[in-house]
Amino acid sequence: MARYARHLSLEGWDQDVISSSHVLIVGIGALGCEIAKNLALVGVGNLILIDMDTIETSNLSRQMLFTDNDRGRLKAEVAKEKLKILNPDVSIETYTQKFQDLPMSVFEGVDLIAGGLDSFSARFALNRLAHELCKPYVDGAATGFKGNVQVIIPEGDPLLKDATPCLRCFFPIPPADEKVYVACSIPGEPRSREQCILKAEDEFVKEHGIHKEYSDKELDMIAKIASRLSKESPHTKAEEFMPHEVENIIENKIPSILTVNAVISAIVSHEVLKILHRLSGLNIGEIMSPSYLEYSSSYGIFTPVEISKDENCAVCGKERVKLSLKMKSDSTFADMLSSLKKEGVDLKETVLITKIIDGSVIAAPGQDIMGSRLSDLPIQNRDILRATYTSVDENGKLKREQAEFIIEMEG
Amino acid sequence: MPRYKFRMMGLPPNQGTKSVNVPKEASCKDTKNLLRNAYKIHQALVIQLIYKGQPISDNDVFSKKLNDLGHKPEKDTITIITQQAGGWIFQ
Repeated sequence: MARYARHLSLEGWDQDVISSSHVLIVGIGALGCEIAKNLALVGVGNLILIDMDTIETSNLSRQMLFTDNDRGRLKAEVAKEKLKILNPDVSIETYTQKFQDLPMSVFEGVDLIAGGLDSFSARFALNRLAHELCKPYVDGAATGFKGNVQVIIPEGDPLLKDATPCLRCFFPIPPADEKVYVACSIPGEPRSREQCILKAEDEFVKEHGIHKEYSDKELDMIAKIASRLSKESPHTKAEEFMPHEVENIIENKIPSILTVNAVISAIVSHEVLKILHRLSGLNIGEIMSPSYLEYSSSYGIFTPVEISKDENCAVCGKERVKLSLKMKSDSTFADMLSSLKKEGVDLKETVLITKIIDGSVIAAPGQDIMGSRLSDLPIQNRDILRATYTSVDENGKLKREQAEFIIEMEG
Repeated sequence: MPRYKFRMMGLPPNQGTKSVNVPKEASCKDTKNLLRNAYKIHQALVIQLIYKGQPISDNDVFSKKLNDLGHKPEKDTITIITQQAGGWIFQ
C-alpha cells in the first residue's frame, strides 16, 4: 500500500476498488500506451490489452512504452513487459488479434472498456459490443492538434444512473466504410487526387498481390501509377504524386502529436477511475457531463458539447437493428436481396455489403455473386450486415443510404 | 440563398463563428463540404453538425431539417464538431 500512499487521502478514494478492477484497453497506440501507463501506475489490478499491430519507427515519437529495440515486435506484448516494470502488482493479459475475433468470455469479466482506436469502423464495433454487454465505454480520439473524449454509459446499470449517447447517436450514418465505398465506386476514371491513389493501389495489388505494408520503392511505384491515372482521367488535372502522400492515404496515416494524446489519455484515464468507483457505489466525482468533450491544443480550449441521445439510434435506441432475415442455408445472394426488397430495402445493383463487427466486405459493386450460396460467403448465423447503397430522392438527386439487418440461417 | 450562422468547436468565438450561404436544396453532406472549404477543415477529420443537441444526418435536406427543428436563421447557431476519422475523408 505504501506505493499508493498519496491516493489514500484522496476524498472518496478506495484503493481496494481500483486493485480489484478489470479494465479492457483496446488499441495500444499513442492513446492506449498512455492510458495503460496511467492505469497501471494508479494500481488498476487487472488490465487486458488488445492490439494486433507491431511497433514501427513512426510510433516511437508518441508511444512511450516502446523504444528502438522494440521495432517489429507486437505492441501488446511489449506494453505488457514495460507495464510490469512500472508496476509489478498489476496482472496483465494480452491479445494480439482483432478484438472482433475474440470470444465473448474475454469481455464479459471486464468492468469497463477504454478505447484508443484509430479506425472509425473499429470504434463503432466496440461501441456496439459495449452496449451488447452493458459495459461503460470511454472513447478517446486525437488527430493533429485536437482531440476528444466521449463517455458512453449504456442503459441498465443502476449504479451509473443516466445512460449517455453512444457513438452511433452522434454519427447515425457512420463514415466507416468511406474508403471502401470510394474504392468500390471508381470502376471508371478517378475524379479526385485521393481516388487516383486508391485506384493506383488497386492496379498495384492486381499485379503484385496484397501487401500489409509498402516499402519506399513500392510507394514510389504506386505514386507513379497515380500520376499516370491523373494524366489519363478527363476529371483530374495532370498532377504528380509523392510517395509520402500515397502512404498517408492508403495506410490511413494521420497527423498526431504526443502532447495532445497525453491530454486526451489523461481525461480518459480519470473518467475510468471515476466510473470504477461508481460501480462500487463510491464517488470520487461526477462522470463527465456533457458526455462529449473536445480539446483544441492550438488555442488551449476545452469545449463540452451537449448531444442528445438518439431514440432511433441503431445501437442504443428503440430502433436497434430490427430487420431480421430468415434465410435457408442454400439460399443465394439474390434470394437475400429479394428478401430485403420485400422488407422495403431496394438495393438494386449497386450495393456494398459489409459486416458490422469488423467492416469486412461481403459484396462490392461489380462483383458477380448473385448466384452464390450464402453458406459459401463469409457470413455466419446472426451476423449483422450493413448495406450501403444509393437511391434517388424526390428532387432526382442521388443520396447515400444504409440499411442494417441480421441474417438468421435456418437448416 | 439562405445564410446560416455556424460555430466551430475548438476555435475562439471570433474565429469560430462564420455565416455561410447554403443552397435551399443542399443536403447536410453538401453543407459539410461547403464548411470544409470555409473553415479549411483537414481531410483526416470527419465533420458533424449539431443543432439543439441533435446531429443532422448526411441525407437530410439541411434547410428543411433545421426548419423542422425550429431554427431561427438570424439568431441561432449550428455547432460544428470535427473528429478523428480514422483515415482520410473523400467527400
